[in-house]
Amino acid sequence: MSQFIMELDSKRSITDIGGKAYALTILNKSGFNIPKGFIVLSSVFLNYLKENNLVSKIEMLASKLAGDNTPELSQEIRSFILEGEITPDVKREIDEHLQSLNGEEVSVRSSAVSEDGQNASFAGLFDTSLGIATDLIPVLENIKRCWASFYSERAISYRLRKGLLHLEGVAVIIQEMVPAEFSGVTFTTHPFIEGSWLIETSYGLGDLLVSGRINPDSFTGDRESFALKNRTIGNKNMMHVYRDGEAITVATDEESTRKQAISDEKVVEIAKLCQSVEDVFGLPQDIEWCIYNEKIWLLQSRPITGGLL
Amino acid sequence: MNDASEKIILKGIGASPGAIEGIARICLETSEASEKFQAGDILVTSMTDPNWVRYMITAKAVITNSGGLLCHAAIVARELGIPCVVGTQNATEILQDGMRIKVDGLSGLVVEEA
Repeated sequence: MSQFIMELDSKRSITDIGGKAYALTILNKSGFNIPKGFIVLSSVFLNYLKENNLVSKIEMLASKLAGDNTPELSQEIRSFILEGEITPDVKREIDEHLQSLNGEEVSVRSSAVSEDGQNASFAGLFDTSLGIATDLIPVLENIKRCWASFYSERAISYRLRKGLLHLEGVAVIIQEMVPAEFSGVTFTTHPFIEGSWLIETSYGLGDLLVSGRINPDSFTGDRESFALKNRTIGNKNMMHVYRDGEAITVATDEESTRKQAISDEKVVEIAKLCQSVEDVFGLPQDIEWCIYNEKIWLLQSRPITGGLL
Repeated sequence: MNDASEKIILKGIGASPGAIEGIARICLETSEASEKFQAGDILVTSMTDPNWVRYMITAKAVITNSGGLLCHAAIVARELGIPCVVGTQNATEILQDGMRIKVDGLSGLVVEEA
């Protein structure tokens, strides 16, 4: 077994790979369709800090953190992390794993140990890099960026508010990029309508939906029968698409803007799929997914926490 | 909310239940919010991200132009337990700064208070 890297189909504890990656390995093991990839273990980050003599520097700066000085200290810590050097043995293994992927591009996402847990969710606080060329140099750079984003201003403020530690393992998930035609989010239990699920969908990649920059199509259905109860078609005036290795924002044509993006049948199929994800985890889930070539890909699943505060 | 003396001026998607009255504060950027947003105001903006949380924490309610029930603004508002209306298209244009309004986070209706 590798010291630095784990395949998505192997088994490790949540402290080795963080909450988001842990959920992915469970999805994978349970037979759900997820993009091919691997995980750089959380210990690699901690070793990186040691090798680059950053542990005491970060501890010193973190101990000085108070509300007002967050921007400067955040900047300082992040530049330390970005300037460090990843050891040759780690580089070699990452390179070998990249060679085993088929896609030309990958996504690089962080998976912190305390992230996406049931009590605290860092959802949206860390960087996600989409459409990174499947080559060692850009991937290493984005791994460092993921690590550094653990010290973004908003991540630090979040931890100050929640009283969480500023030093912990951060794993990194590298997966083949799915050039999503449609994306969506499922809450297997509706935030305030009992006995219902909620699905929101839009065109292209899912980030505009999650951030709230577009008005998605919204569907509510019954948790038992899966029958649709309510449908609202949103104003999806733009989308993020993935073209020539780059995520770009394009305007949606007038017809598509007001048209239902995904059919009722597909929405119900997704609702059923997501219910089976909930069954695996045993708790209501907040699931991000996308569709490419008619196929549904699961991108992440976490317990519904609210948890953005 | 159906009192005839009240005028419905905006309709969006109810994203966090609860009805409340207050002063609308239009803030397109966080820099604007840092200048004029006061605790207890109703935050009216185009959308939110984690940088807005510090204002949302003291807001009485949140209204956004875009977004659905699963967007950042909606999720944070529910966690804070404050009413939220999203996807209004043009709240930042229709509402006026300092206007006294009533927000219903279930029906998605915003009415002007006399």
